[in-house]
Amino acid sequence: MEHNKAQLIVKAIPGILLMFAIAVFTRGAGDFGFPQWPGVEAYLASNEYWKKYLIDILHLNYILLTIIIGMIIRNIFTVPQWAVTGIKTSSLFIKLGVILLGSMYSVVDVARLGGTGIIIVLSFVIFTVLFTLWLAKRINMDPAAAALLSAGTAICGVSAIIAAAPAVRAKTTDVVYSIATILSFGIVFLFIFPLVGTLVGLSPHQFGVWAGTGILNSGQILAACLAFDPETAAHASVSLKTGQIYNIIRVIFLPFVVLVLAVFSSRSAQTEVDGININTSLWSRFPVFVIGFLAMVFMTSFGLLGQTSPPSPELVFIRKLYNWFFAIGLAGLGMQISFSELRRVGGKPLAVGSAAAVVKAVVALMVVLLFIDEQP
Amino acid sequence: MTIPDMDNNEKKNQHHQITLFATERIEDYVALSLALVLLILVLVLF
Repeated sequence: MEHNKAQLIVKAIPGILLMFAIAVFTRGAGDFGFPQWPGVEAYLASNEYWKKYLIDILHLNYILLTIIIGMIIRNIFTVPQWAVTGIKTSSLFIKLGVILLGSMYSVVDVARLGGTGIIIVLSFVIFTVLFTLWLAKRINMDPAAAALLSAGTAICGVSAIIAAAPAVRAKTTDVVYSIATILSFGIVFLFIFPLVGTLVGLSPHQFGVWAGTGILNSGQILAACLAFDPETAAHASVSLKTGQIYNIIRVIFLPFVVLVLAVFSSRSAQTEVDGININTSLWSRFPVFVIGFLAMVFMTSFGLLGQTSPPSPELVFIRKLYNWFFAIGLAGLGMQISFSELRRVGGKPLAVGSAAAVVKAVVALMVVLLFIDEQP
Repeated sequence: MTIPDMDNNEKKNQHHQITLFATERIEDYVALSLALVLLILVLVLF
């Protein structure tokens, strides 16, 4: 069935409205002039018992609530046919949110966190790649599948797997298993990280370093940081700010990791290598929206969006805007997580991915507790 | 909910999938363009 662009855009509107409705349900309608509906999060916070257990301990804020509601719709009911096209645009909203999130950083912040950040992230990238490859070799896993898992566990999850797949000549099944393993662990971490962070008594900055280093997927870093240290128009989330800086530093290493894995994979391959252009492949997989994020960082650094402390009206508005984009995008993300896909994960990829993910998270927590100050 | 029930739900979710963006790269460019438009609006309106 052929669709032109205009028809597709019209077809996407109902799904986008569904994601928006879930976002309003959890975040409230106060920003749109309807303070009568304060949102599920505010409703839970109004009860002392629920606030203590669901919000203070489980950090069940609008970010997790939108994902959970999305997962319930997908897995217990069904995603309506009219909403499918719109829901597929959820990553567009998350990317838009990430670009605007650049307004939270100035070059001074990046420079201040950069030195320590680069050393920590680089050590973890190298350690995770080597550990995953070593473990996979010990249990005789296919080298291409091992290379994909190591990219997924060392850099930022799904994008790293997709970027590495053509360079390591992975089979489709390897890609699916690796993505499923990484996403399953990401979901578990999404709920465990804020809980452990609270129990261990991490500061928002320390939690940001831990999440930005230990969690495998960009969206899940965002969700865990916002769950631990919620963002409002009056309070900028320190965890989110730190977590995203560490995540961005990690993303910068993606081309190098893919290159190393391509070399590793071609050396391990049994078949003859028929030249692939790794440079073309790397650029074609580079997430160019990151350039928008960096442009926002520079604009904020040079004061083009007004003063940062206290934030100018422009920055306050942009902050509200990206929180809405994240809420809409994460509602759609939830509606794309399938329990049965998670259940299908099995065997060696799960064993290797789980071991690498847990070891990385535990070592990262130890490094944070030993070497990272409570304040940036 | 039993596992067969969940499998049935999964089948119900297997719609004919149409994506708005042909590639991830196009989606990146759309996100960049929309962000630029929003930024211009914010700078003009405030």
